[in-house]
Amino acid sequence: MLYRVLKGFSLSVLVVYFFVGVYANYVIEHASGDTSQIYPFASWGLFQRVPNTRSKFTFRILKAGEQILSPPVYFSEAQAYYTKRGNWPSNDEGRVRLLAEAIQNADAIQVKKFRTELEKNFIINPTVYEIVFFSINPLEFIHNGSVRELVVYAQFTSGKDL
Amino acid sequence: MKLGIPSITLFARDAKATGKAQIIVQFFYYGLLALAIWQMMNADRYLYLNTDDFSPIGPVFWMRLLPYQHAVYLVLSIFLTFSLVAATCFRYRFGRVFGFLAVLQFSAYDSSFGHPSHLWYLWLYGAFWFLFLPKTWNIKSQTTPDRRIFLLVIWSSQALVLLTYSMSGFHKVIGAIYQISKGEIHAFSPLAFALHVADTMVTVKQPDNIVGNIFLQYPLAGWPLMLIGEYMLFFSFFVVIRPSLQKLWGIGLILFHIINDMVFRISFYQSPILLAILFFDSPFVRDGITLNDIIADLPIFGWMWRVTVMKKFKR
Repeated sequence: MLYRVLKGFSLSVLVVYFFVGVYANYVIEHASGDTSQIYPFASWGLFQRVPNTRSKFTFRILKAGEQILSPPVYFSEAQAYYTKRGNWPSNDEGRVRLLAEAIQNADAIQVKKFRTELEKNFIINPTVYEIVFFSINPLEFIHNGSVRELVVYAQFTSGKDL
Repeated sequence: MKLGIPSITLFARDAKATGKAQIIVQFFYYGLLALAIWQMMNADRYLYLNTDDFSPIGPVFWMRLLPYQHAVYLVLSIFLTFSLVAATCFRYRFGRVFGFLAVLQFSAYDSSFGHPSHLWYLWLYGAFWFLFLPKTWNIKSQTTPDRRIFLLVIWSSQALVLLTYSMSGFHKVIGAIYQISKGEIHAFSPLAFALHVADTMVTVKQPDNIVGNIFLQYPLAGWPLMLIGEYMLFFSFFVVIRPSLQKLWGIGLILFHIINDMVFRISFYQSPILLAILFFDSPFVRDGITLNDIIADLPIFGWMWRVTVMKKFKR
């Protein structure tokens, strides 16, 4: 009797886990753009599409202290100028996205908040940087730094006008 | 022999299978203790994290009440002491409850930085299933129904772990079908692996990532790895009903994690340990398995093997 109950429970867990994962991955994530994970469940939808192009908000550094950077250095290359902290770097990129949205909405309070959080990680001050939206092919970007599309949202100098 | 859940009854008649299952449980809690010791000895990596996004979730709500570093030491202490209780008392349900609480606390803490972290999920699922093990541990005192439950619990933990890998493979195949329909480079394309490597490097530049850089210099080198990885992931759950493949899949998935760590710096060191415990000496693998059995049981290729080579030899 107990065996049958446990067997039914085990099979139910497997079926429910699979369908919740599929639902989270294809419905929740696509609807809200949020990650398809609710502790302690995961959809395990990792690396599910090959990134032919990557479009995202990021920042690039134009000047660090007295040093002019030409060409500008993007976030992904900026380890000499920016200290990534936290257990996952996407936290930093998420902050950049929120900052870009605040700029779009002309929300001065949020801009100040996210700038402050971002700028405390700059190693050299003042740092002149731009919040941008770019589209790249990752292989082209790595090999020759080429960017397919670039939109500059704003330019800031760390610690200034905050 | 094909194994479905009903065959557990056959294995339950053999004390040897239950003995192997007990070793799995034993090593599970020893492994958990080793991981807890490792976390405590590397406490610095948690103590000095950026806490901007730290927001303790349900099971570790109490961490809100303490200064961050004090709370971290306390959660590490809970992980270590509860794992110690589990490692010494795994034969008793209360010991296994401690084991579950240990990994629940630490995994919840690890998931409290703005997004869930699934690094500890497989251990959490294993610890959950082991709560259902029967009370009687001594094999001689166990009745056949006890052994059936014991083996069913092991089967369930194996199945859930393998399901997570299959789900990962499933999403990749669906993604590939979508990208093929769009005319894009897809998961089966020669450049897919290199694009993933490059994309990861754009997300977080890793100048000291020597292995990742090799695959950028020689983009086609990663193609076979990608295809083998997708094959193993997609068919992981299939191994639940083909136990002859469990050791092979255990090795393959461990290598998958190691390659991910070397190339993408995605460190899932918790999972390979669990894979070794669950699949290297599974109670559902009968004695005398030959290489021919293993090949014949492989998804797709096994079928091809059976209709070509084996048929030829039978003639």
